[in-house]
Amino acid sequence: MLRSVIALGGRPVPQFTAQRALQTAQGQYRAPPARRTAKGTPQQRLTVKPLDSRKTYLIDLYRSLLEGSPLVLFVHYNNLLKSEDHYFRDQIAQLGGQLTKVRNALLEVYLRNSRREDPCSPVVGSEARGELIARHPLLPLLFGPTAMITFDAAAAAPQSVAKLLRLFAASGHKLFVVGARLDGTSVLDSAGVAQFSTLPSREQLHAQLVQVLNQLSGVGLVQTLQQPSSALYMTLRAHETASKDKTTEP
Amino acid sequence: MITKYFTKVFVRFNPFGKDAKTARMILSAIPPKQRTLGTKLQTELLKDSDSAGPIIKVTFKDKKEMEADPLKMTFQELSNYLDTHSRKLRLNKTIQNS
Repeated sequence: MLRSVIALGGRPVPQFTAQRALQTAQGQYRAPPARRTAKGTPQQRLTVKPLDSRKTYLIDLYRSLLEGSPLVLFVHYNNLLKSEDHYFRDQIAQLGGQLTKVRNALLEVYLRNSRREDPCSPVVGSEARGELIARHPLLPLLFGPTAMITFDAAAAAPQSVAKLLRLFAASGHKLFVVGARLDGTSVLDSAGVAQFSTLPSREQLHAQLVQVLNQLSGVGLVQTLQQPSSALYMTLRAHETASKDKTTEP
Repeated sequence: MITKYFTKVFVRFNPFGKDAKTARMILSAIPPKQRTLGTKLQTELLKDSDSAGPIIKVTFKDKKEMEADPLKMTFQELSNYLDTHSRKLRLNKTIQNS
């Protein structure tokens, strides 16, 4: 401060803050403009980072991966050799998955903004601030080297997860699963993932349910469904006979 | 962090806890070639319901074991703590070689 006062010949340095810079001639505060604006196109997407920047691209990529796959495994990877990295990617691809190493801070930005229409757009106004998720349940997993394994709907079966877990265990835990997101909402820990891998597949579960319903429909189910109405009929019948007896008695 | 005198690293932590950062960073700080040269990495994941606490246990080439709690230490503090013994080993080796 003293140096700048001397440099300006004793005059105080003007206070020039960002807040003041955004004040219009009328003295009203207006929202900060996007850093990158349209080049002739009328409807340009408004993003915090430049539209063609890697950060915007990665946030969009994480969005498409997380929204497009019903099962996402979050994996910690130790320092991998290039050959090990290729090996694991190849093995995962054979099971129908895709390994994506994650930039934690950018995935955090996406998770925080995941309820908003465009997670890359600047947060302006109380409505946009209200849509932010301050404490996403997946955030604690984003410390240290993290990767996502995404499966599309066809490949997201417990069997492929079981195979992956066996592969990781055989490799001496160079990679290990720290958590998972299932069906877009529920978050599993590593024990939950292990439990999930022992379940039968969705098709097998459907078949089992149909089988159980078929068996029940023979005896039990029909009886159970008929029980309330037959009980009501029997009660009314009993009342009817009782009232008839009373009328005939005198 | 000087890792070349480690023979075994055992890490137990809860991935959703506050100890995860230090624990995961020490695991990734071991160079990949060192694993092929015989340093063993062991990991155990805890659940929220588990009673056992997180721990980092390092065995050195002279069989000395050092333990630390990743909840109470940052990665930098932990690496300083482990380096105290690694430096002793390095000094011993330099004296023997000279």
